[in-house]
Amino acid sequence: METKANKKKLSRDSILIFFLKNRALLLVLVFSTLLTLTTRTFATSGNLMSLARQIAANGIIGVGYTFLLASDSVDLSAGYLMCMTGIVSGLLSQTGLPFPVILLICVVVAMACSSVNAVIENKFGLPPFLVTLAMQQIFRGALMLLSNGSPISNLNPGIIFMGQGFLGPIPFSVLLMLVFILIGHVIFSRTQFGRNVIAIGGNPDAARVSGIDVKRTRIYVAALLGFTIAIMALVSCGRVASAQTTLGGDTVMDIIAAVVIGGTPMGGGSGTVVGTLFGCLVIGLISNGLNLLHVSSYWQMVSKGVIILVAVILDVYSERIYDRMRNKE
Amino acid sequence: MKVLEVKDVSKNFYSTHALSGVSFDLEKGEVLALAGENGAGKSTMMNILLGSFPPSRGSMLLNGEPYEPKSPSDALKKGISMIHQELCLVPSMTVADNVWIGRCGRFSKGGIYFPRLCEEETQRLFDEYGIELNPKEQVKNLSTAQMQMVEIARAISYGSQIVIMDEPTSALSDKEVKVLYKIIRQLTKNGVSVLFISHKLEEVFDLADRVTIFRDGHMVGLHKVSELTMDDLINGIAGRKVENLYPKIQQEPGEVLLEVKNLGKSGVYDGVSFRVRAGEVLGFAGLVGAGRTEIMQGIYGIVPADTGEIYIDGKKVENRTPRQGLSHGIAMVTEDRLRQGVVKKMNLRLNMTLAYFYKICKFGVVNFARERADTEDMIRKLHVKTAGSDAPIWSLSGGNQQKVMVGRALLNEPRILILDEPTRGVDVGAKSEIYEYCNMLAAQGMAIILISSDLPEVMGMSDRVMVVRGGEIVAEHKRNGATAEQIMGEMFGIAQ
Repeated sequence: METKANKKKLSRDSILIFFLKNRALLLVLVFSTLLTLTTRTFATSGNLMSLARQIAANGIIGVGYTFLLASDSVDLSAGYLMCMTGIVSGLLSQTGLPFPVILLICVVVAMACSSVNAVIENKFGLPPFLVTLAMQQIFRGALMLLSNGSPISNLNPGIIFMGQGFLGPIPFSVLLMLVFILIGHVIFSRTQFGRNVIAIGGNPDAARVSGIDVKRTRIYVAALLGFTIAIMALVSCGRVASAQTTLGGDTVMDIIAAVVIGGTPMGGGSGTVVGTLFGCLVIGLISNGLNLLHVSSYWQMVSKGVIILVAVILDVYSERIYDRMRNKE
Repeated sequence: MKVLEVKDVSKNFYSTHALSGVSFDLEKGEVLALAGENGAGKSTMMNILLGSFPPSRGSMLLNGEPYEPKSPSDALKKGISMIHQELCLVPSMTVADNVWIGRCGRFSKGGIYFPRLCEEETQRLFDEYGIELNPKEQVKNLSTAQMQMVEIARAISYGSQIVIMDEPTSALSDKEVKVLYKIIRQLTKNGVSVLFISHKLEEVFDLADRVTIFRDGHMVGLHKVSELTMDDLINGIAGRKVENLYPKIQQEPGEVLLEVKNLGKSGVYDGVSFRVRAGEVLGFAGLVGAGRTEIMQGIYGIVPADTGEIYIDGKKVENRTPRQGLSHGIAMVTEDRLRQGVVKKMNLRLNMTLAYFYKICKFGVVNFARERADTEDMIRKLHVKTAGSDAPIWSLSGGNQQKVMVGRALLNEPRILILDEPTRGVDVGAKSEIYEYCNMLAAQGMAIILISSDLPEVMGMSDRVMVVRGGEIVAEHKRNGATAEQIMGEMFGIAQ
């Protein structure tokens, strides 16, 4: 009898632990159920498809950002760097260069600019927060100088395809995001590089003593983030068929929220790329659902903030709940 | 007069009995030692006394009144304070602020805090107990040993009836240990009772009036120290006869594997030259801060040396980073397990393979099957007590975490192994297992460099002992070539 009761209790505990570990999945389930029940338009294929396309761009950069947060770093400049890369792609489109060249130049520019953050942090031993805070302003100014402050349309058809194209029934951008998540997941959990990233996030001293080149790994992480920023820039410019100058600020906020809700803690040492996908879904669902419920965009901001707070509180509480389970008889 | 009575206290976690039926009492002004291996139940007992969690069964009396602490701060209010094994200080604050942390109201007038009053009070406390520290110094400028003294000062500053000391000497040099002895004697003279946990059994004999022995969650004995021999105590703790704590195998050393010539780093160490042969254990004795760790960090590449040369197999090598050290066949188990050793958020397996997994990667992808097999092999070889290779690292006791650190070094198959304080805070059983394994490795032709502040250990384990003082090698002894007193004299720089 006793063992039976014990088993039952354990399985209940393990369900609780599963959902604490996959908070984003839990939130996705709760939100989708609520929206399915309260609106008629949510569970339609049209709406779900548009939801998927909304989160595609964030999902791509989310991969790079997961690595960054897991390595105990942060990047405030990512949003404006994304914008700047978009403007670069717009300017290059005007010159009539073929798409692969434009893609290559954008990737190089974003990777280089993003790596500069890590190089400065390494060289002068500065915290990422301060370095990227300053770099954010630099990128912001640079993109205004490049664009004269106005958006650029007439983009290369390749860029339009990245944002709007379809492969069969599936939007190309969604497919791209899934590929990024999959490859990102394998790199994060299965490779030497992924292991190095968690180690330097968890205990940089121990990692260094164990022969891991901490500084070089930080630069690689920044470069990887730059790569995802470039792809994201092309996807989001392609989606609206113009390179915007004002999208930068909110992007970082959304990405950090998505990654943290997904289960990668600020402070590093662990992380999950698949969780980031669900984190992006949560953020996407909030906007999508509140639109469907005709909530004003100002209230959307407030509620997004509240939900992020709740997710972070859940993060702290789940640790305590584990502790309590350990200490419980 | 009895200050504390513990009656039949038990504690279960899930189905494991961490503690069963423990009863003891503590007299006013008495030093009671708690001895036992890691995981024997001492820490659980302390946590119950401090109110970190309640006992499953049993009761406690404090001054004859029922005692049921709800939290460590509740315990503190009722007169029980503790010196923690891990340092919990605020580095940017002064010594005085750290001692009186959370109690600056005492030194405030009309809500305004006067640091001078706090510093004066701290100085009075330091004078009474013979602590030599400047209350105005910032804690971040202190050595580990000095920080530990601040921690001790804080615990006694509460004026508690009972002070619990968990491994208080593990980070102290001999000089500070003497001060701690004085502090404890002063405390007991003032009528304070001390509960003392230590893996250094000599300290139990030096300090304690009585000793309780814990084994596997049970209290197996409560003895007057004066009626006990060292062998009785060791056998009581281990539950078996530990014949020889330092099971040295004598053998002929082979070729010179590592030679260091005139290694120096300005202001830290200078003119360090020595050789280690295959199959040899070379011990480094010295005080904390003598430069032993820094010399080894220079050889391995953590903090490269400024001058001098390193030869491996007669070939000159450059070790500017730990990776270079590793590639030249050197592995190092660092002294500071918490700071430079374990990665808390990783599980046992990831911790064990941290310095090695890059070797079993194909196109950057980790070979998981191989990693798991190698980890489990190492767990068996080193007798790591754990639920499995995926267990979180914090679920292991200190001694077993240390074995994981040793495993991490060994997975690289080094030819030269540097062990920096490998048995600090490790229980007798795990200690002798680590020693035995060291000897086996030496017998297989590995060169081992052992740094230890535990003089009997370094003398018992080594083929040769180098004595380091002030960043220089001041003496070299063959095995059994010098007495402990002689080496101690050289460590302190006192001519015998």
